Amino acid sequence: MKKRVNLPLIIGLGIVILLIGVVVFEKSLMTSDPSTMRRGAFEWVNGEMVFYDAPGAPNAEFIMGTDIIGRDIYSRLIAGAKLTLGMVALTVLFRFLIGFPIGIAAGFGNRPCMWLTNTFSTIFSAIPALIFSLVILSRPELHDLSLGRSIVAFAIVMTFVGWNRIAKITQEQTSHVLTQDFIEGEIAIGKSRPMMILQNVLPHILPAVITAVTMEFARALMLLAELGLFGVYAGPAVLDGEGTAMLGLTGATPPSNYPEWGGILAAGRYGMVVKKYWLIIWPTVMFFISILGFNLLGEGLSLHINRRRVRG
Amino acid sequence: MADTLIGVKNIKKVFCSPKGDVRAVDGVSLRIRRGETLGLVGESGSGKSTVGRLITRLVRPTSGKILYCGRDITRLGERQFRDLRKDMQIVFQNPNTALDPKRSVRDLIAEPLLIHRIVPRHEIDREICRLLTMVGLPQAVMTKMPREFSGGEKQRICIARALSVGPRFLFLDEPVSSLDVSVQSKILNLLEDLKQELSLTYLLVAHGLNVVRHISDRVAVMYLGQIQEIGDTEELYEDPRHPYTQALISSFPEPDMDARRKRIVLAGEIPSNTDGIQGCVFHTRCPYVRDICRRQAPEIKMRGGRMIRCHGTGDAI
Repeated sequence: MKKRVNLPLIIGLGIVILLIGVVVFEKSLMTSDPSTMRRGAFEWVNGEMVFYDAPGAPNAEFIMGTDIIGRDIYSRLIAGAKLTLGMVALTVLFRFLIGFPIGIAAGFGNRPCMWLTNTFSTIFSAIPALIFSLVILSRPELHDLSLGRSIVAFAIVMTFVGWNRIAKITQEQTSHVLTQDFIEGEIAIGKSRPMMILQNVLPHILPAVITAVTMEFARALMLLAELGLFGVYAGPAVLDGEGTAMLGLTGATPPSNYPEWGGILAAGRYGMVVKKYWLIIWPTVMFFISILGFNLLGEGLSLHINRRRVRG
Repeated sequence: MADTLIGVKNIKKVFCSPKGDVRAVDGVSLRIRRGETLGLVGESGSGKSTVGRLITRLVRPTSGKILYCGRDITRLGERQFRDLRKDMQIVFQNPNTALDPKRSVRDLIAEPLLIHRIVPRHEIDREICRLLTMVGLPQAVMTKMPREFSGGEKQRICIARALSVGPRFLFLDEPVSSLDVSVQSKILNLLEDLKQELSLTYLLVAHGLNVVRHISDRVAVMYLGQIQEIGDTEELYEDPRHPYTQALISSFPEPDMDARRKRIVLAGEIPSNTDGIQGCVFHTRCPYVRDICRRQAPEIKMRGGRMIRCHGTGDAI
């Protein structure tokens, strides 16, 4: 048989490695300081006077342009990778830590855990997770939290609305393993339940769970992007409503102090009003590439596992 | 009696399903004597496997008692029963699915040894080798995975695994029915040898009547969750008395032309055991059915050295 190339796995892995590379080498990839505001300012560059207007269109110095208060979008996106992916990783970690044990217990027929998994699945198939998290995260009490607290708040809310998927997949996989004949053999030799989970259930369900966790990165990123599009992002804003009005940016979302992608997207919405495409397109592209990357990686992994299963 | 290893007293198992309750085992009583092989035969759906699974507690009984060495084990908690698991082991029907495909032979056999602390940790490999040799496998198979073996070899691994904890009783749940005919007799002979060597007691469930005749000392015939007849193997095969036993034995080809009996073909299907059957459970198919059979369920009674559940006289008995 001709060996087929697992293209999703290769591309997905490539993108994810690239993203990790951006996080690791952010210092050398940035071309300017991501939080310096250059708005209505004159600067002497090589003996010439340069006037910075904001938002500034892409040029040689700022290849993706500057945002509404004159910060370099390219450098902000680079600097934001760590923050954004970190938030997403935290969310996925929480989702896993809650969903996985509950899923296993539900797979073993534990009533409360089955109820939790089913109820949350039902609730969030009726109410979109986005609406739910939007309502909570846009509450004014959460606006002035420090970055650290804000990230934790985001991770908790995004976990609350999304842990059920990992639980559901774990539950299905676990109960499938438990219907197999060899489980009776394990009962017959007197194996305890924890040992059975460790020795007979985990090895069988891990491939599917790893795939689900990878996909979960994409889902959490998606939620973050959607929240950003609705003007909700983590961390305090650099200006309040009055500040933006003073700058003549009436109607713009107060821009975020931190370069998290959702925040860049939120402030970039103004670009749609004033028809300055670069404000919105670049954060969107970053989200698109990373969501695609994690999705392809997950798909490639499951393809890889299924092929191995067929062969084995 | 002193020589009884396992006593089953009026045990019942009802499986609840949306379509109605299924009375899989409906009041079975039997004794398994120390050192004997008790064969359990019957059509599929007669509840013969369930009896074995009740004894080894893969399913819990709805009512009734199971005595092991005179002690009621139906009331024991899961933790207390775990110690008894090493006394009672099971050899499953399909060796292809009875072993976790992701664990090596060494893991599979080491697990029960570790759970019940049969040998100290450093002697585990030696013990595994001894068990593998006992079931006729080379020691080199230790590191292999289950998928690398044939059905017969896998069944040998299952037997080694069952024997690893030093059981006194083995429930053989159709141990050869999914194997090639050429391998069947080898596994049966192995089981016979092991029984002598380790003074084991067997409960053999099978639908292959020749298999049962080959290694059983006594045979119990089941129909719709009830035992219809129990007797010594040779007597029962030579002179079946219950009409169902007669039909069952006659359906089995006899190699000796002169000894060939008239074949009794049962009309009709086995009734569903979800609906309660009035009268004798066999009356819908019995060639000797009489009025009393439809009205009143017969008790199992001792008749001429054999336990039989039938109203019949004359023709049938």
